[in-house]
Amino acid sequence: MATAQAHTETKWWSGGKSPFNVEYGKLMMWYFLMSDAFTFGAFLISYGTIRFSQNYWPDPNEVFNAFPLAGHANLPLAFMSLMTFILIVSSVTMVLAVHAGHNTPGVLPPMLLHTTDTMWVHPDRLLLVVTSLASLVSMVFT
Amino acid sequence: MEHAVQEISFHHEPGGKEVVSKIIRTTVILSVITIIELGMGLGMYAIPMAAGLKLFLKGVIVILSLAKAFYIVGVFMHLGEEVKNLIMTIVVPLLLFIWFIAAFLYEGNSWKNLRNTYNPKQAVSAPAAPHEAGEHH
Repeated sequence: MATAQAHTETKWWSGGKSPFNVEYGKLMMWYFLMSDAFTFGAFLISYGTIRFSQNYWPDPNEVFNAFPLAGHANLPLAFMSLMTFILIVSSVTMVLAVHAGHNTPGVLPPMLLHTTDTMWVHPDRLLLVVTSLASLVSMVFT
Repeated sequence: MEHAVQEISFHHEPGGKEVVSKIIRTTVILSVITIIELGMGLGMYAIPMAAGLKLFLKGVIVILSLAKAFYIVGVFMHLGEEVKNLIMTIVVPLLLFIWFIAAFLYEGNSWKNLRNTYNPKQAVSAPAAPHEAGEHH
């Protein structure tokens, strides 16, 4: 007990504890996301460089003014805005699905197997299914 | 030597209503910011305005987008709940983007100037003529 007390007093990098306090997989996922941000940042910045180097560039409001099944109606950036909104909602539903998965007894890791002592139609399980489907659908659409 | 030391103490989410309400609150904030950005973008398209005001609105949109990224990464991706060392490890290298954007905008500007001043009739094959002073037109 005394040693445990002493170990809580040590600094992050003096050993005896994980300085980042996360699993290996989560840490590596964050490193992957950082490198991913640089990769796609390089794509976007090279696009910006090319666009900046031109004397003229088409106005996106004029180019992307169509909407599916809306014919020739002039709707500048409406479809793009809808896709952006669906993208944000997909991350919302993903977070809700993960949260519901943590809360549902017996869902993680033996997915949908142990139903003996839990309700089959558990509200959190319903939320899990609905939000998972919603994030799947929105990912497909974006 | 002490094997009873817990190396990793995972903090699980508290679970329950407050997490869901936090997610919903963040969603509302993100939606409001998105609507404001959309309104400004459509306003720039629909209402004729001065170039300075347009530039200002574009800057505001960039700042609001950074706020959205902060909320998405901090709340939805749970980076805000991690140890500060981990947050800094992920966020500080991203400051390279400041150099990245500035350098490549400079590059694009130089590219544009070179293309605009390019003259195909000019002799390209005679760069070794220092007394000619043909570079400055």
